[in-house]
Amino acid sequence: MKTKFLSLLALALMFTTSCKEDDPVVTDPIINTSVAVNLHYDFNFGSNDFALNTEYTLDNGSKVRYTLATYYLSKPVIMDDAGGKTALSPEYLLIRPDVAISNLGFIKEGHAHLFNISVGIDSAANTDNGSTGVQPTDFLNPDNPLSPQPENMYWTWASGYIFVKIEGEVDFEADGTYDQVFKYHLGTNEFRKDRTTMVHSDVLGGDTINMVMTIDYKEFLNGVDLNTEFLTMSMGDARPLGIKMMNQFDQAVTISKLGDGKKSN
Amino acid sequence: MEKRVTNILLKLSNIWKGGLALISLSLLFSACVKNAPLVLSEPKAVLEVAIPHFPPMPIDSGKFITKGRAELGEDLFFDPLLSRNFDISCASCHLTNSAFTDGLKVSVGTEGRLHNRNSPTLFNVAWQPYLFMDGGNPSLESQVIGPIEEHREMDLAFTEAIARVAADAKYPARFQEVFNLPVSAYTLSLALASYERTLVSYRSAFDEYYYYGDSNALNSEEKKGLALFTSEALSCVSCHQFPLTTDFSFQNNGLHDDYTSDPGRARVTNNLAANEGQFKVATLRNIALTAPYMHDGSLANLEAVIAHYASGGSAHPLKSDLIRGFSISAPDKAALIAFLESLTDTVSYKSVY
Repeated sequence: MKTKFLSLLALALMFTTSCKEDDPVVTDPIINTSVAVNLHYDFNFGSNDFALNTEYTLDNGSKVRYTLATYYLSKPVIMDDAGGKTALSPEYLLIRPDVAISNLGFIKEGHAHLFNISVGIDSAANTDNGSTGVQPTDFLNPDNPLSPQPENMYWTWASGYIFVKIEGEVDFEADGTYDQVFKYHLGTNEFRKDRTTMVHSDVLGGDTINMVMTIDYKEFLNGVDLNTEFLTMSMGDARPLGIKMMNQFDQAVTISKLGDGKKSN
Repeated sequence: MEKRVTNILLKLSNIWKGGLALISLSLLFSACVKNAPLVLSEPKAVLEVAIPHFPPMPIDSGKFITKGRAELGEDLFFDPLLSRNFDISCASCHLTNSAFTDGLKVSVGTEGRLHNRNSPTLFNVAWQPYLFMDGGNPSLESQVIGPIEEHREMDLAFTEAIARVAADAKYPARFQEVFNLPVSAYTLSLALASYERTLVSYRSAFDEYYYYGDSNALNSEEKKGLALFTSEALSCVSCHQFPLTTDFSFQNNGLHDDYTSDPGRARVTNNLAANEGQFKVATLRNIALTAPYMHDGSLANLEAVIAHYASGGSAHPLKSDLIRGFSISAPDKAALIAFLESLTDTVSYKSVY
């Protein structure tokens, strides 16, 4: 009986105390477990900074200037060392030489093992051979990178995105007159280049992973005979040159981790 | 302009009344009401084209036709605003009085630039599973970008086309009215595609005879031509299958030995060994109005076309097995041509345009 009474008393006290409205509410402090991921861009022509419509000298003395250098990146991902993947966003990025950085969202703190990104558009979205897929006319928002672009990054006649579009001019004798236009419009699913870069960092909330994509547009033309290898739309007889120039672009690209990514205090 | 589209809709409604085709025009907000009176003046009413002897018109969700969309698309189709130099429109190469072709060997674009292909008819493009002669594009909407950007056609960046239409005095308000959306890649292409989907050709003398039991619709010579057309010896119908008069397959018909100037389907697939010289089988509806013929306009008239197939064509290794040559007498050739002429539509556009 006594036990029963004490139990009821304890219960009553519990009710009473739990109904007090002015009790201080104890909550856990907000802990930021998010790690930002940024991709920086560094465009060069050899040891010089790169810009469109700027004249550069090749090793053979010829002068070149680029008038267009735009490309797609897609599906950035951070992988941990257990094989887990965190998809970053946006999924698609259109990169021009005036872009300095892309904010790719956040991952949770932990171990960031690898950074993966593709040059080009994934085959699920990119149409090929006239098959159905994402079309530029699907988009209401002109800011979507897959919507129509001023430099026409889509082949309607082959229905696929142009992954890399580079155009320019060459002055072979460096006599002040541009002799030849070069145009490399590179695409179709086979051309996509997946790039994986070691990050290997233990990151905590508030840290930032800074990756940098360096492109050397001198290296892009290294070994290219601009007298004969100046035009490809990646199709037909010019497909072998398209394949070569896509490999040239791939070789001109370096992706690395910038700094240790730790937040500064 | 408005009258033209209205006439199309009225014409379609007349056909509905005649029982030859079912045109279901349902109000967006009362789509379930059957036997509701047709309200052809309603710009947002959904027009569903269902022709009994045709397969269903394939339309993706949300891309339905309305009077407003078709009218807007028609205005854009005839507007040189979409060409770099404001000198040509879609209708420059797709003339209404030539079954939406231009009568030229190859088309002429802005600044007189020559294309390397003959202008195809736009009739029944709604049923095309892929666009262009090499099938390089999957939808009427994204196809719109092609001729606008192509340097031998209108040569205007599509983003610039959107900007021009958006800056025009009349179009932005109409886009809002029709789509409740601003001018964009989506709405501009959908407007043009909607108009193109209304270009339906289905009621020729052949249709009256073959599908609707009018034994007098074809004369004896045309009937003889039909028999030749469907004969095993000529094999025309193997690819030009009824009712659309095409199976949309890609065929090398032995037109040339050398396709260097235009590899056809191989341009898209990058596979010369498998696809060189293959082009999509063209519709024969209104064929009498669409000379010259073939992808490059190299055959001036129907006599030349029949002579080509009778000869067996070139010795190209990818030539279709169906192109094996045949003997045809002069009267039979005349009968075959008479049949082909009976494929000329007598309803859907002649009285409209």
